[in-house]
Amino acid sequence: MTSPTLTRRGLLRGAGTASVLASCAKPTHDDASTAPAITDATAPAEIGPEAAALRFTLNGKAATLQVEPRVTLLDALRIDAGVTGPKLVCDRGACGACTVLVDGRPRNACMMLAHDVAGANVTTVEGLGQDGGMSALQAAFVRHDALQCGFCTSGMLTSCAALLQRVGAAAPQLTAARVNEAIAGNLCRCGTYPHVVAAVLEVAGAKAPAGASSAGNPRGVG
Amino acid sequence: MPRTKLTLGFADQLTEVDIDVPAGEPRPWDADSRLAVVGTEVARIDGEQKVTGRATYTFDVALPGMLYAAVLRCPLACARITKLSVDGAEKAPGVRAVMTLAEVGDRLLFAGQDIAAVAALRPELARDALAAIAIEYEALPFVVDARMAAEPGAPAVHDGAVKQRKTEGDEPGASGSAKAQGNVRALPDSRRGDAALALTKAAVVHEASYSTQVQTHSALETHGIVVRWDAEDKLTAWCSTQGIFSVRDELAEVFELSPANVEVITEYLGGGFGAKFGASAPGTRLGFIAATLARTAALPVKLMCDRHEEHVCTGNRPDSHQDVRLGADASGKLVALHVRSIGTAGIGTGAGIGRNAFSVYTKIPHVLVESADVFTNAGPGTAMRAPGHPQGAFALELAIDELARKAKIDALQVRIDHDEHPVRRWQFEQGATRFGWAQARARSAAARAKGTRMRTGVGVAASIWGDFGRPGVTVTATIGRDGSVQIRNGVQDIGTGIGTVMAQVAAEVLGLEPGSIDVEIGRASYGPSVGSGGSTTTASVTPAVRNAAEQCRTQLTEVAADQLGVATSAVFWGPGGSVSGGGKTLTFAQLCKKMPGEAIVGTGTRAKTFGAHPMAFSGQPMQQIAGVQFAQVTIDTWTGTVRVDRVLAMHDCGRVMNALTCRSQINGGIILGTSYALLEERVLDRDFGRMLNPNLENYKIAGALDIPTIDVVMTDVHAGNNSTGAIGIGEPATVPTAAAIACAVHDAIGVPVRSLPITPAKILAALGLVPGATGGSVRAGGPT
Amino acid sequence: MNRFTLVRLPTMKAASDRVATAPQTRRFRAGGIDLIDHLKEGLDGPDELVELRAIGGAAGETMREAAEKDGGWSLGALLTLAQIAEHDDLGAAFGAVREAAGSAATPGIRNAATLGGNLLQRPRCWYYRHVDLECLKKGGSQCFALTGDNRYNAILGGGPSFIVHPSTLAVALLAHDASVVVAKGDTLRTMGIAELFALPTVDATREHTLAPGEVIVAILLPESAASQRSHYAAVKEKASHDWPLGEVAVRVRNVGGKLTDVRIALGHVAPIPWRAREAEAVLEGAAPSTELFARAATAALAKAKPLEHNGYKIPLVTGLLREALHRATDVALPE
Repeated sequence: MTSPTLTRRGLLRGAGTASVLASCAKPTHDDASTAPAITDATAPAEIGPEAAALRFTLNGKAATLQVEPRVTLLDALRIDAGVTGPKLVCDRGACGACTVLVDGRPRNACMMLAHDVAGANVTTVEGLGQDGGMSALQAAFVRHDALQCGFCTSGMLTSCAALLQRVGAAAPQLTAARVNEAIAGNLCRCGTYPHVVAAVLEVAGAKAPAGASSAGNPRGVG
Repeated sequence: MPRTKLTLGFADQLTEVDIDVPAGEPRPWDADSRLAVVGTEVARIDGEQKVTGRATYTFDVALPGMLYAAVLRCPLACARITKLSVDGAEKAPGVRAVMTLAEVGDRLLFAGQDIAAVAALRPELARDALAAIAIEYEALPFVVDARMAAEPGAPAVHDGAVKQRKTEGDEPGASGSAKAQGNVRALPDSRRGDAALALTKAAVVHEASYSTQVQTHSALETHGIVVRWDAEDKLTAWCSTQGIFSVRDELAEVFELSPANVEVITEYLGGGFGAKFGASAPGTRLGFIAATLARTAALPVKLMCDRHEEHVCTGNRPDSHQDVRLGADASGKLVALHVRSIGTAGIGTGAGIGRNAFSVYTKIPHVLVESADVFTNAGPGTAMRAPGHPQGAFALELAIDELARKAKIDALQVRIDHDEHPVRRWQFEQGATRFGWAQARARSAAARAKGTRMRTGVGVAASIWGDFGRPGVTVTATIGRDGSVQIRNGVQDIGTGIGTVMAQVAAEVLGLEPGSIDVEIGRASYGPSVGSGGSTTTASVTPAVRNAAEQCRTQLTEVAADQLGVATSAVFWGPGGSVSGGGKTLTFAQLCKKMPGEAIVGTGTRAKTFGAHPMAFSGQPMQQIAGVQFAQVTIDTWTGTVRVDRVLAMHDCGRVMNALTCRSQINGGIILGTSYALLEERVLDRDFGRMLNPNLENYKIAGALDIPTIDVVMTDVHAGNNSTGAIGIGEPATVPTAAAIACAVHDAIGVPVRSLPITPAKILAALGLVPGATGGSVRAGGPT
Repeated sequence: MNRFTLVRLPTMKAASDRVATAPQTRRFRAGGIDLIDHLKEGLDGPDELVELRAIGGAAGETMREAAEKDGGWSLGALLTLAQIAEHDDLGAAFGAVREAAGSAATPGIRNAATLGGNLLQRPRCWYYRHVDLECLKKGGSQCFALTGDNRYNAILGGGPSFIVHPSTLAVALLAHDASVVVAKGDTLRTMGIAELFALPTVDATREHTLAPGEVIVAILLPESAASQRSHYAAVKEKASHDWPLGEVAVRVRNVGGKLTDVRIALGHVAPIPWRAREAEAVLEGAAPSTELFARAATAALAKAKPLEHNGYKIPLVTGLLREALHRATDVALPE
């Protein structure tokens, strides 16, 4: 085995795409072979410790905030941008109530610094709807009662929306197990998981397993 | 309407019963009532607010100029303050108010106790300021383990009398204090017959110790409050509470205000589970702090606990250590039960074990249940979803299974044989068939005999509850000339969807769609209501809604009679709120346009609970809400991993109000119970007196991959208790889950795990695979 | 969290030098998960966070890519756990690596946490994580786990500190004989993954051997021989997001009915990812069977010295290793 050197040219998957400039291009987060980079060429070399300008896209609209580097993305969204759908529950990435989509991927906003999303697309639960109304997934959550107190709901929804986006045309093959995996980081204390699964499978056009359905349970059988 | 004949009972066991209905009450809905909206699956009317992120929780409240507060807490389990200066905090950037909650010389009783607080422009500035407070402590002796604290010579936790904190979430019938001895304070006994004597005569006696852990409520929204002073003697508080009026009354009392001058708003609430009553949490004076800082700064102040604070100072389900003796005669009939329990609610009280042992298997003739609180230097316990009952159920049901094995009697049959409650007996029998009990028991016995690697086991346990709702609720129904219908009451929605059920009840009475009803809840000024505790909300609020709506209907009927030119008795209400008579029909909108004034207003109250069918608590004028749950587990005997495969829940649901949200509540009870059975445990270090897992990472609550497939059977039971027939389900649904799981584990591996949570470590120890450990009773964990 | 400056420098040299010149007050930051945990708990309070994700050039490229190399793979240190878990080209020969990456944390965290960060995260021991407890790891005089609640602590290789190493990827990589490419300034060095970790007897306050300013650039997985299989498994109290009670990774080939090139690594049992050489010796050259696996698994734990509350880890990891060996070799598990 030979040690690589710093001059070694990377072998990106797929011939011909290797380029030194590749790492300066906007990262494609859904490409499993490359990790995200901080690529804003105009970004200053040092930010803070005082509040500094942060520009990103929030639910489809350009946003500019002035925040200290130590401010988490979650605090910046809630306090500085006034977007309170994402909740703070565990504050350590263990519960998923703060889940937002950053360039389409579910992320724990409490474990990110606000300045991490410079130039990125951030979608919160407020941005999931269509034409001012609920998305199909949101409507299914209501129909299946996939929420009780509702405090986990925005995180559940963003995780599930990301799952549906990810499986795309293969949605009808979605299983309860796969949905459970996708929400494994979203804690709910009221116990909505079975109804969340039912809602997601319905929107996906997949078959609901026995017991996960919100219909057909007997009443007062005798 | 004094004496009224109602059809009461359940399933095929319906009978006509004469009951006294208080004057002014409509004829209660009974088994013969055919309802169109109530009982169906209706999606929450505020669902869209929640799924779009628009629902405003206390945590989301943002007011102009609002400050953020943070609290300095004691880092030691017991300490005396020797130096305290908040000068540094006052000078810290962005700080607008500072207060102390303790002073030099004070003895602090647990790690987490309030010391000082600040309010600043941003949350991080408030936390920075706390770091600038100069404080020194003298560490004092402490004890955090219940059994160690009960020993003679243990450090005394309290040096004076203890005030008992009562909330609406307390165990039904839990009564006052008895004598304290050292850190031990006995709770009232429950006794029938002579258990001690009967045990000496029993042919088979099973004797063992069972223990349960401290569980924290872990509502996702932490305790918190926002206070704004509107005038010198007037304030508004947004509070994450399950008891709006308890918050109002506490703030009014503390600040000497008229209750009418304290508005409390809980538009949305991120869970409570029993810990959110009053403006203060059990172990921290949140309301007092926020309101004091707000007054000092002359700005609104928001104070939210962080997760660590939520775990250590906002309440918990106390632990229990139960010594059980259960005796049977030679024929397998249970003759005596003696339970002695101690548990700790930290510096607080209320470590009882519920009514399971005394009131479920009432054919056991000799029963003695003794329990005691043991004070420790830990945050106070408080009511948590079915206080006492999951603990009591666990020890009782597993002990019955162990005795059944020893006496070679069937674990299900012994339950049916000793339970007098007709609903529960029916549920045991129906459930056994639906669950495939006999086949599953045969399968697990075969696997045990073969000594297979993977095992399944099944267990069953009983639920009991006894709170049927409370008077003191006033609902206002207003029907406008424009046909709008508004239902208003100051109740809060803890997550059960009470507003939706209120809309359904009003819609039922008026023949409308629930979506057309405007429900206004979540404010003290909307009228008196109950706390969301004791599983009483639906049973307390819906009768008042019905009664208010019925008043409106009566008034509208008079309008209709006028318009149609017929007697009121000849007015018929049709679909969509239409009225007809004399060959004419008016739509609801047309009818409303004809009302004499701007609006018709009905005010409904909730009468005291009446009726009493079909089963009262043994020896008490109190009914039982019945339920049973069956559970199946799969255990990997190589790694000790336990998975709960499925749970069948059969629950007395009174009259089901909303089949969709009712099932959600039952699912929630089972999932909480599963989490309690397998995962959750507050771990306090015995040497430091600190919680080692004050987070949601090592304090483990069940996620989506940890829960069983759930089959819910809602048993409609008509008890004629109130005008809607509603009862509560939130607490009964979590009472038997952990017990059923523990029994299933016993069935799977043939040996009991007598301590919760049932972890892989305890399974392996029970199987005798852990070097140096003894089976069954081993504690994998350390302290607590 | 204290106030700090985010530093984004475009070259490895600049970033490395920045930290090397003041290692007490400057921290590298990749996914930042464990770092933000430390900051929020008050366990650390650096002045500067030097962002590895800002590094460009060839180094940056290597750190961000998964590339086939000499029949094996180069996995960049900035790859997220999700990217590794979802990397279809890492086939059955490297199954353990994908399985381990997919088993750690939650979907949200896996989208942020990096390979390098996973290897260098600090222990989860609840005494270490408690800001008010000055334990051995934090320069104190004793390991509180030794006499405290040590249910999650080490049964092998413990002393004077009894933490278990938290990295799940490390277990899989150890079973694959991976090596680590490390940069400092302009220079690179490569070492076996086992050399990255050190027992507490070396230095109780740290878990790895990197010098100040050193950065993991990539992990190299050596070429897989024909028929190589690997498998990772863990036991957790909680199936949705938990730290393992024990974990195993197995790499093995079945050549003509005999097991060869056997590597077994255990996780969450020792202060470092633990190579089970005793088990490897039992398995190497032998024909797979239920009985053999039981013997190997017993050998793997033969030297375990449990503390007061973690004796259960011996049967647990024994059972887990048996199961993993069955699955890695397709020998049917007993009923």
